[in-house]
Amino acid sequence: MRHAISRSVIVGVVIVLVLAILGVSLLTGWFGRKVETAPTTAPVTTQTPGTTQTTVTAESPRTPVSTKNVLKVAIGIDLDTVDPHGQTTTVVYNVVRHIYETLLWYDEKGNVIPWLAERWEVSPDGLTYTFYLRKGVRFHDGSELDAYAVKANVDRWIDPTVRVPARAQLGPVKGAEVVDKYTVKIVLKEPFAPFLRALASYLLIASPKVIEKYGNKTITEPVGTGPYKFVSWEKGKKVVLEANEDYWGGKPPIKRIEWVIIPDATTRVAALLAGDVDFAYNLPPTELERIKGDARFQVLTPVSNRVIFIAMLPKGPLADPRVRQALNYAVDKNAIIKNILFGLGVELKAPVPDHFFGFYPMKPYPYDPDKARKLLAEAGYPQGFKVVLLHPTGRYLQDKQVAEAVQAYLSRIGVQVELKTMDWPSFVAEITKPLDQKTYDMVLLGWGPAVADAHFTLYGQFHSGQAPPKGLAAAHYSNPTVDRLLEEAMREVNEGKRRELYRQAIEIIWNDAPWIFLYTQAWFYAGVKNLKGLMVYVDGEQIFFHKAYFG
Amino acid sequence: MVSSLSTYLFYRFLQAIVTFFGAMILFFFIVRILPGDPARILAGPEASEEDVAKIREALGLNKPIYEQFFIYLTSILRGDLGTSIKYGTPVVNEILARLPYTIALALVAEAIAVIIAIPLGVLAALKPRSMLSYIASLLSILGTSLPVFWVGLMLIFIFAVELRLLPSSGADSPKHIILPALTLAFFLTGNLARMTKAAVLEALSSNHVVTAIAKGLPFSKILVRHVLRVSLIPILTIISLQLGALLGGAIITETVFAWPGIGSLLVDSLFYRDYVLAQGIIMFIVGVFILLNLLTDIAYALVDPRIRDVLWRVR
Repeated sequence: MRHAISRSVIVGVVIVLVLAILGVSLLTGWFGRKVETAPTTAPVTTQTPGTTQTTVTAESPRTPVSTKNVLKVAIGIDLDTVDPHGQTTTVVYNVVRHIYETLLWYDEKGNVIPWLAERWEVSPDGLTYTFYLRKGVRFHDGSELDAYAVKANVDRWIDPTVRVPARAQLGPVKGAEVVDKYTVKIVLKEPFAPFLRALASYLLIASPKVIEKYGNKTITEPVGTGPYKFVSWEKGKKVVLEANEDYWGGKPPIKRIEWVIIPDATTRVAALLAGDVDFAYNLPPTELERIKGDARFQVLTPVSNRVIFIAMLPKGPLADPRVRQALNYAVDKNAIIKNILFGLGVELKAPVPDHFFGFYPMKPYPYDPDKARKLLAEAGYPQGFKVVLLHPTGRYLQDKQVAEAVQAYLSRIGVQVELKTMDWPSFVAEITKPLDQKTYDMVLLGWGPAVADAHFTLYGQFHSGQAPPKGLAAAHYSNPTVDRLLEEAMREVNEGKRRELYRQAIEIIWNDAPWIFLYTQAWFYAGVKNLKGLMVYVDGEQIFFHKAYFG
Repeated sequence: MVSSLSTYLFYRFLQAIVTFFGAMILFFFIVRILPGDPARILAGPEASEEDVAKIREALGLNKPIYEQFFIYLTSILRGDLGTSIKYGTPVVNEILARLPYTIALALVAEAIAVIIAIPLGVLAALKPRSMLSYIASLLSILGTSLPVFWVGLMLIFIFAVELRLLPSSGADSPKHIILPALTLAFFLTGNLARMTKAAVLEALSSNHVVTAIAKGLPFSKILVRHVLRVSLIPILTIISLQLGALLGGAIITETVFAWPGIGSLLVDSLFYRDYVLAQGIIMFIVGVFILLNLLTDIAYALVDPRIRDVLWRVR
């Protein structure tokens, strides 16, 4: 009997405990708990120097006629950091760019335009860039945007003790000098032609107070000059931004943006269909037709900065350019784009996307298996050969399916492809190995620099100095002429001469065919139809909502 | 009697600590055997090697592995789980921020399962050839054979997209917990109902119940006092096992429903090769399991002297 009693006691205690914890967990409001919240800042002084408004080039937003003031946007990944100089991921950049701004920006065509800087001058030697700042711009904490603030950001960017993953991409920056309150010079160690574009893409300007407070520690309190202010970031859940009423470019129509983190792409579709979000990023291509056919939604399919290709290692049969050309003739890229990507891609006409500075169109290799077989026979492989194709899965749109399609096409000309599938971190570890340690012959890879300038794709992928393990030039391509052209183009300040250097490099690369040139990847975004005023950033992967409104 | 119990508890506790540290050492090396460089993943493929090297240095990943292990061990002993590679914040904070979601989901799912499965299992045992019994078997088969993500997505499409009764995903209000909890409960219910049925059937055929029936006791009394009480022990064991598994994070369910719990954090941390965060989460899960096991064993020992006596003799 004693056992029975103690048993019942235990049972009772367990049940009571379970219910108690359950009740407490639900009632104490764990659901609404904020993890990282912006400190309440004193209201920003409402300064409005009359001159500021007139110098604003951006047109003032139309007044919205909707009562809906909250925009919910579904994104697929959580932020890793809100530090302006710690950014690595396009979507995260997209979110924080509503808070921080850059000195320069892009127009719809991808030309560099003034933003926080009203104008700029470049010294003839290409080493000194002078920026004249827009006056009367204030950070969300009330401090003013001036030359000292810009200098503080440049100093932090080049400080080796700060974690700045994109440091090298901005160029060989030596430092910044304050000329007067609204004039700042940025000095380079050596000429770097893509500098203005890199500046427009990378250098987010944070409040000098925040920089002073955090120093070389990760900034967790994002304060910028942008159209939206940071409210909270609940990790794994959402990021909330609130309109900056005093934004120099005009008050944003939508009061509040909630970036909701929904990792599963199908769930993002469901959230959009269910009306839980107003806009969703990176939807699965298989859903394109369905959402296009639904009158409630608008579909955006902007072309990204990311080229997708198969890099061929210069070993075995693939060392012969005729073989590499043959493989280019053997794959029907347009069929892949149409049937596997559901149209979410544009056939490559150069190793860079069409909208890049320095793009020069070549004639795509047409689908011609007969010509491919002929070239293989010429090169001494009439019976074909065996290769291993490494590819990631879940990293690029339909990556596995594309690799399988390439496998099928190549088998038709006698090239037997063994697929090697890896998850992303293992994949990256594999492709960064030196050539003699690699266990594959070809690799499906995407390359999407944040800056739409040929330098970042061509130098990163075809300069011999970038071959792994030093860089990630996936094809281990080595051509002294191309090296020289790319180096010259990197230093050439004259845009016309630069274009010409890239044209020459692209011609050589195209005919040498170190890649199977596939396509530039497009994205599939969708939103409710009455959401208007969306701005697509030049790289096609970022959408800006500061002029958006519900019509 | 008292001394044998306290010896047993001491022995059991020691065992738990050894298990915990064994798991810790094992996991420390397992995550590092995985190919992939956290600094490279963090910086992205387009970053330059110099920048990646600097990040590696800042994270202490350039040190030899035994040195890294020593640093890790000393900080663990000081109660410091380290700083997340991805977020740059203390791992403890990250886990504590996600834990409430995981606990809430686990408890609600288990509560739903208990409410449905126990009556279902008991009735199925009492009337083995009834409709209810077949439903219990069907649930149990479906629960083991249907994929979790499919069930989750179906629930989303029915209740959120078509009927618009419930939110599709997220964790903004108590309403948001219903669909993920139902998804999990679906899988828990089948198993629990089957175990309940088996336990009740076994109790029904035991000698004391047969005696009680022969004695002519009213059946309701037999059921409550002699059948249910006896079958509760295996049922509770299953519930505690299920809860332990749920507290480790329902990885797929959390991902499908964008539920910001421990499970989705673990997947994320492994994908970023965030060794420190992954280790922290795993150690937490291991800790929960060991603790639950320990508590169960202690409860058994308290209830059943045979267990501690057996242990005593073996030693």
